[in-house]
Amino acid sequence: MKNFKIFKGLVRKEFLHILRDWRSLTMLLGIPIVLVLLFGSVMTMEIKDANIAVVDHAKDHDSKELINLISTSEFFKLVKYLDTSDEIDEEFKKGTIRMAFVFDKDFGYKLHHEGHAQIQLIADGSKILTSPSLISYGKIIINKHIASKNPPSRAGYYIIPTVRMMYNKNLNGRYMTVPGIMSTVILLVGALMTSLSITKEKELGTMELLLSTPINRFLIMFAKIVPYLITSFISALSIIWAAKYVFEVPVSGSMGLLLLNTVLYILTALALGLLISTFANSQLTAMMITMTLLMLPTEVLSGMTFPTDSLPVVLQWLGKLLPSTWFNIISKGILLQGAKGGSLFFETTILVVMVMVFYFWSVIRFKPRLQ
Amino acid sequence: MTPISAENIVMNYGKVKALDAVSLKVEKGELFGLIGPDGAGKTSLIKILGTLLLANSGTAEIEGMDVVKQYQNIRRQIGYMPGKFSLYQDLTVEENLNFYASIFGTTLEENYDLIKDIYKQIEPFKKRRAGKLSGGMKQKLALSCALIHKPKVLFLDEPTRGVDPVSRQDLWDMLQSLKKDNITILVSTAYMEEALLCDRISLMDHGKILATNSPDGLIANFEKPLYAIRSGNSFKVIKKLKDYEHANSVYPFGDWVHYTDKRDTIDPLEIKSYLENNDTTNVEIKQIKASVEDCYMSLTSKNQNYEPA
Repeated sequence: MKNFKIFKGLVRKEFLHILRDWRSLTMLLGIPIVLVLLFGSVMTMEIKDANIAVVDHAKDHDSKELINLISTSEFFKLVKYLDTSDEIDEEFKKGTIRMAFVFDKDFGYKLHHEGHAQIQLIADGSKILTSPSLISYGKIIINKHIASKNPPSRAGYYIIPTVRMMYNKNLNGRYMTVPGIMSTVILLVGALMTSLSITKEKELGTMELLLSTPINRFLIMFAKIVPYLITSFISALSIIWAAKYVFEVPVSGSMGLLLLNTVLYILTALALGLLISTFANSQLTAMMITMTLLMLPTEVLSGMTFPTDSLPVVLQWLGKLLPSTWFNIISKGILLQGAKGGSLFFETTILVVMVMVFYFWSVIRFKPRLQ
Repeated sequence: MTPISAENIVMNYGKVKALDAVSLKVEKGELFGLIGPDGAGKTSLIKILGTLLLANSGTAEIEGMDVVKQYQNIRRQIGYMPGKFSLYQDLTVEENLNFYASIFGTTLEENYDLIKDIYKQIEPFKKRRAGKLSGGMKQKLALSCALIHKPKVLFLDEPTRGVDPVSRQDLWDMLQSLKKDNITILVSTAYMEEALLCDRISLMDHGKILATNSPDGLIANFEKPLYAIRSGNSFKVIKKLKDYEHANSVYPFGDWVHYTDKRDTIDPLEIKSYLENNDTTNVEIKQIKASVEDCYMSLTSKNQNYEPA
C-alpha cells in the first residue's frame, strides 16, 4: 500500500514532466506520424508513373494493344521506343528508365498459332526496393489482358512473361512497407523516450537526489514506463490510422488484436530504452546508442524493407534479436493475412519474454549509487 | 549511538587521492562544519557518508548502520542537499515538496511543523516553478525537501555557495534552529567565516582533516602572536617581510598582511622599523586575534611542510 502511494507520486511526477515540456510532447506525438506519412508516401509514389521503355520486335496488332494498355496504366509511363535490347542497358545507366518490356519477334503469330508467346520484363536489379513491385505490376497488366481475351470457359492462349532480374520476390509496395515503418518508428521513439528521460535525470543531478532516498529501483524504472506507454499508444494509434486511411492498408484481422499486440510492442520498446539508459550517462550517448542499435538494424535486419531470407545466416540470427522482427510478423499477419491470435502465439510470447528480460536486466544494472 | 562516524576513509579518483584516511565523529544534535577550499574532499566525504559513493577503504556508520551494507535503511533516516540544485526545475515549489513527501510515504501536511519556519518564506511562491526561483529561495526549497521526512541526520553540501549574504545568514539561522528538533547536521562550506556558526568544525585540505575542534578552541590553540601589517603597498610589505630573517608566516588578508614571527616574544616596533628601513612608508602594525582562516593558513603550511616564509 505504501509502495503504491510512492509509485503514484512517481508517476504523477513523470506526467508533470511530460505535460510541462510541450515541445517534447509535440515531438513525441507528432514525429512518428510525420515519419510514417513521409516514408510511406515516398515508398508508394515510387510505384506510380515509373518510366519505361519498350522494345517491340513484333510490331503487330497484339503487341501494340498490350503496349497501349501498359502505357496508359497508372503505374507506367512510356518514355522511349528502343530498336534493340542492347540499348536497354544504356538507358538504365542514364537513369531514364526503370523498366523495359521486350516483345518477341513473332509475338502475335505465336500467340494465335502456338497458343503462347513471350515478353521479357527487364528491371534494374540494383533497385531492390521497387523493382520487384514494378515487375509484379507488369505481370498483373499482362495477366489481366490475357484474361480479357480468353473466354472464361476454356483456357486459350497465354503469354509467358520472363523476368530478367535477381530479385523477383513479390512485394506489394506499401502494404508491406507501411507496417514495417510502423514497427521501426514505434521502437525508436519508445526506446528514446525512456532512455532520454532517465539520462536527463542523470545529467541534471536529480537522479543523485532520488538515489539518496529509499525508493526501490523497481519502482523508479516502472514509473518511467507508465506515462510513456500512454503517449506512445496515442502516437501508435495515429500511425495505425494513417496506415488504414491514408495508405489504405487493409486490416484483414482483428483490430483489437492488433492494438493489444501494439501495446505489448510499445512495452518492449520502453523496456529496451530503460536498458539503454543504464549504459549511458548523458542524453547524447543514449541517443547515439538508440540510433545505432535500432535505426539501421531494424530497417535492414527485421524484414521491414528487405526480405530477410536473402541475408547471410548470421545477420538473420541478429535480426531475430530485434523486437521489430517479431512485431513485423505479427502486424503483417494481422493486417494482410487476417491472422488470429493463436497462430501468432509464438511471436507474441517472444515479445513478452523480451519485455521481461529488458526490464529486469535494466533493474539489475541500475546502480543504487553514483558511479 | 553516534549519528555519524567514519574511520580511515580513503577515496581515490584514478591517481588523485580525494580522501586520505579521514576519520570523523559527529555527536547527536551537533551542527558540524567541514571547512576547506574546493578540492579538499568535502563533497566526496559527504557523498560517502550519504551512501551515494563507495569509498576505496575505511568504514563509516550513520546512526549505527553501515553505509555499505545498510544503505537502504540509512536512506530512510537521512536528508541530503547536494551542492548543485537538484530538484525538478519544471515542477512548482509545491509539486517538488509533495513529490519528496510522497516518496517517503508522508505528506506535506503531516510534517508541516518541522519545515514551517523555512517553508513559510517560500510559500507565497508555491505555484512558481523551481527553476524560476532565486538562488536563496532555491536553497530554502531544497532544505525543505531534505527535511520533509523528518530525517535524523542532515547532510548539506555547500548550501551557501553562490547565495547572497542575506540568504546565507537566513540559511544558517535555520540550521541553528533545527537543533531544537535534535537533528544532527553535517554541513560543508568554503567560507571560513561560516565556521564560527558551527558547534564544531573540521578543517580539510587535500583530502586530509587538519584539525577538529570548536571554532573557539581552534582559535585558542593558535600558538604564536599574530600581527596585522599595512602600508600603501602591500605587495612590497609581503616581499620585504618574506626576506626578514625572523619571519615565520606571511600572507595577505584583505588590505592587511598577516604575520607571525619565529621568536616567542617580539616588539612590533622592531618590525615596523625593519620595514621603514627598507623603503616602505606609512607602516601600521597591530596585534590581532587569530581567525579561523589564520588557523587554516597555519595548519596548511605545517601540513605541507612549506618553507617558512
